[in-house]
Amino acid sequence: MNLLEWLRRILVVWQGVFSLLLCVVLCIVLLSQDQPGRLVFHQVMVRTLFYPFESLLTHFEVTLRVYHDNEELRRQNVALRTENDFLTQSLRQVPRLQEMERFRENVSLRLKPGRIIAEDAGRLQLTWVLDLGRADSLDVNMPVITSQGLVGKISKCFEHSSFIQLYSDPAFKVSVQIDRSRARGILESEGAGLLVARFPAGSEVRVGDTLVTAGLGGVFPKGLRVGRVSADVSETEDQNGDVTVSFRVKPFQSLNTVEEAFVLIKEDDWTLKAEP
Amino acid sequence: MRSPWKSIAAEGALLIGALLLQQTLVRWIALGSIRPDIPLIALTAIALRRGPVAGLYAGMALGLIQDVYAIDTLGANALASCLVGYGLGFFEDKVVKSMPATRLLLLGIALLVHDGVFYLAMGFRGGFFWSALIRETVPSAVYTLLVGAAIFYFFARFRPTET
Repeated sequence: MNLLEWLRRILVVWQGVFSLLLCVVLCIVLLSQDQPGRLVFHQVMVRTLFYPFESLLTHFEVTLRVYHDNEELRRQNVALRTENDFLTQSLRQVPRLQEMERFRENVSLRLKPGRIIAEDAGRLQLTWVLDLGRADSLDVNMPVITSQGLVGKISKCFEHSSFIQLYSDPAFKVSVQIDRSRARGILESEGAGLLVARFPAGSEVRVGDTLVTAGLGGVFPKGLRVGRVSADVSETEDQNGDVTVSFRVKPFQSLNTVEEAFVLIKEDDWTLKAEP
Repeated sequence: MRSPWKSIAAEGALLIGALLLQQTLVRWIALGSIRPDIPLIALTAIALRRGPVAGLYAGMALGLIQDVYAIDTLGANALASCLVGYGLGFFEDKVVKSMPATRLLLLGIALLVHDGVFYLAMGFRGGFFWSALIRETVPSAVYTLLVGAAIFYFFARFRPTET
């Protein structure tokens, strides 16, 4: 057995110990390096052997950060959009509230301003929900108006909310009169947003006349603006032989644009002291 | 029989994966400064599977990689990891049939030895040494044992049955 063979056998048998010694020596060499030597080792390793992993890790971290930044920005975006929407709504509310305030100052009746918080889910607008109730001195049959004109009346009253029966409800009827000629008639809905005023034959009614409430029946005070006669429709005779003429009426207050309304708090004697 | 190169590649990938996890996932599950040592769990698994020499080189490679990113401790991690890898290798599966609880015990001892050697190599002596061991190593060892238990259980459960 020559020297080389002997060394090979020793290495095979003691490979673990030799490897350990080698590693420990290498570690001690590394540990004994001064700061510049350590920096050189670090730079050489990072720029060669570790570059692919370094690059992969950095890429992963950047992707992760971008993902989290993006998530945060999305959240902020939603919050800002919502805030912006609220502010826009508030700004749009200002002119309406100013108009309501002016209207309230001009009318001497007790007006209670309220917000429409819901409407019936049907295709036809028949009922709204108002955010006022008995706690706000409201009661059934109190008229509901806007600065433009009549909207309806309170049909059900709860503690903190009420139902408004709108003029578009076919069951809603109100006595009206022509502002110019004082001719009296009945206003009712024919559904689908069509309002019809019926007058006795021979009443002096023209297209373009203004309709106001007649104050009969005790529900509505006299003189509330309702709408304008837009067209004559028909002349009919009922079973008793009474002939009536019907006119289509265009309401002053469109129901599609109302967000706030006033409730006229009922007093013993309905008198409209000032025209709105 | 599996080719030795395939085994080396698989174990290298395991170490790299453990290092990547340590750099990414562990940040999210860290309890303050207490973090589990995922690479050490991987090193324990390799050493117990492949013996002292493989454990030694795996520990050396792992320690060097960690040292590259910690210039002040250059060599300390390598020394600690290679000693731990070498020592754990004597409990290789072929030689000692260890139970899962024994593996966990070995992992715990490996953590203590690793950090002990590391602190000594860093020049910690006396009060500093014991303080670092108690404040840093013991909580991290407990956390690592919990994570290690979950990992060992997972691999033991899903390892294909040998026939």
